[in-house]
Amino acid sequence: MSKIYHPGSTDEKLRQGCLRQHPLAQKYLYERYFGRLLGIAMRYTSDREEALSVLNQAFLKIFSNINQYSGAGSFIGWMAKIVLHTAIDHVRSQVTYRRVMDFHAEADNRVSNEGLSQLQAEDLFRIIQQLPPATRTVFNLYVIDGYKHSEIAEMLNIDEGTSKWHLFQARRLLQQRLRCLYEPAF
Amino acid sequence: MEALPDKEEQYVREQLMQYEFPFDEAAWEAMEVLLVEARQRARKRRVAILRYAGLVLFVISGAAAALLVLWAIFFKPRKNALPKSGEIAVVYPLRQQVGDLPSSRSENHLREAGLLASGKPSAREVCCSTEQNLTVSATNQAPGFQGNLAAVSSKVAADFAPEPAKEEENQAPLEGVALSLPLPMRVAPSLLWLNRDELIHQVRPCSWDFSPRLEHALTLGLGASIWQWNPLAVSPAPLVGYLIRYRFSTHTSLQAEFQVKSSSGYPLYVREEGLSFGGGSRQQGKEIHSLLFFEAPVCIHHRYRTNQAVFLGIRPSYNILIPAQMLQSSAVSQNEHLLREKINSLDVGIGLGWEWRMHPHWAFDARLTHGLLNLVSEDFFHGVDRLYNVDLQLSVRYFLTPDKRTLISRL
Repeated sequence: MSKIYHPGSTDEKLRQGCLRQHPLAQKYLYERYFGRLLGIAMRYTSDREEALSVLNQAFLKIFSNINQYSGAGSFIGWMAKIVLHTAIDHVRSQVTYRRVMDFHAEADNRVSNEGLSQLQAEDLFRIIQQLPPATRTVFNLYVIDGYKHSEIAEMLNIDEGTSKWHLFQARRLLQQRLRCLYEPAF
Repeated sequence: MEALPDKEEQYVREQLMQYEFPFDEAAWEAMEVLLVEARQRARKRRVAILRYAGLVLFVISGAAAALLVLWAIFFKPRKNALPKSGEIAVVYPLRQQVGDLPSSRSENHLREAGLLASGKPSAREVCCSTEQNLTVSATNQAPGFQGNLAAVSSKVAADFAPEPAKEEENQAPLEGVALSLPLPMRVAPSLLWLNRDELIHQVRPCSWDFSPRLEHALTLGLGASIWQWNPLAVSPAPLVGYLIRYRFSTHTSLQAEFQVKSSSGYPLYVREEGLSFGGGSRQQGKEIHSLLFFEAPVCIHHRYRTNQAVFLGIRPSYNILIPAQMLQSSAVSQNEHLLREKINSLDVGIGLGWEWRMHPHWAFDARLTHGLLNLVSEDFFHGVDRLYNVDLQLSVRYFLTPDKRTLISRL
């Protein structure tokens, strides 16, 4: 296999180059999947700088463990999983679940997400980043990444009921944000 | 991935999954710095590993050489070496009654005194049964035995015994009775004129064949689970288990156990929350729960007396929470859910105990173990309580292999 890498090289060729720790192969792989993987990191963090830090940590793991990719499943899926777990580890290291609980907050509990479909992706990222970290994590895992509450509970080391509570809280907070967005300014 | 029932949320998912951020060159530059640092770290780690490996090999080989030299100097067995005073050197074969000691020095003394003409002194029987039970008993004096035995024994004892004062304390009928033993048992001269208690005290089998190397035991016990120190709050914790012990030196063994312990009384936060959209209700409090511990203590066991030992070790455990009120969770409707404090499933603790081997098959032990990790893993509730797996445990063990050495202490 040729050792000349270019932006159009196949995933397999770039992967082989990364196995040999070839800097150019690493750069092209990074460049190719930067956009999609940053999207994952952005959902779990509160700003772009934090997301970039998480993404680079994840890429470091990808480059150092690329020999563990067995070929089963898509390569991008394998990388996405690493980014997701790195992001969750990052959230877990920073979040104290106690801090995000507000036991006395009794806001209006009627939850409706009407209005979300009128937002563009950039706005959605922004609005999700405003959620408290634990609540944002559960929302992302359940709504975007499609995990079940039992799986989320296991990943975050929390009770299943706690996961449900965070989802409920996320929906409620999103509703409040949407109301702020659409309310006419006085 | 299943489609979400909520169309709005499905829209959010699609938008976010499909969105792609433009490439950022500055991000790659930061990545390059990380890659260089990682390479340097890996190189340093390899060097450090090589250094440590070299150091460990050096220490191991040095220690081995030192042990070899010490063994050669102090412990190398010498031919024709006599056993130390007070030790019986050879274990008896199957049941064997001991005859008289032919031409022993003690008998020569008795002969000189004219006491053997009419009879022999009574002999002790030292025998081992088929189960290798070592027993020492005194028979009646042989018929026809005459003479002032006490006077003779004092005379002979003056020649042999280092502590003449002890000889005076001997009491009839065992007083001054010569101990006759056949070969291959060898007895130090000072033992020949001891009474029963002193003999038992001094006779120690130098062979540990009486104690098996490998032992298996079943354990049944009751612990007092201490889940709060101030004020003290305990609850009973019955347990069953299995023990395996391997003796790797004269007094010291490595023992591993597996035991299942059930303990109630752990108070955990619970909260019931209504999710009805018109404004939910919530209740918060504490529930008392039971915990099931699967423990595997590994200890160093040191037998400081024939039938007493101490042990110290670590106790890894796997913990399972058994909710006290399962009905409550089933009663929660779809618009409500239950929050319950989660526990750590893995824990490690340290333990210290004492064992009394009261019978070749039976032993009793008492131990105190203290978990090192907080059992509550979730910081959701405001509770600051820390719960540990602490217990004071009393248990009885049944050893499948008998320890004959225990009998010696009962002679």
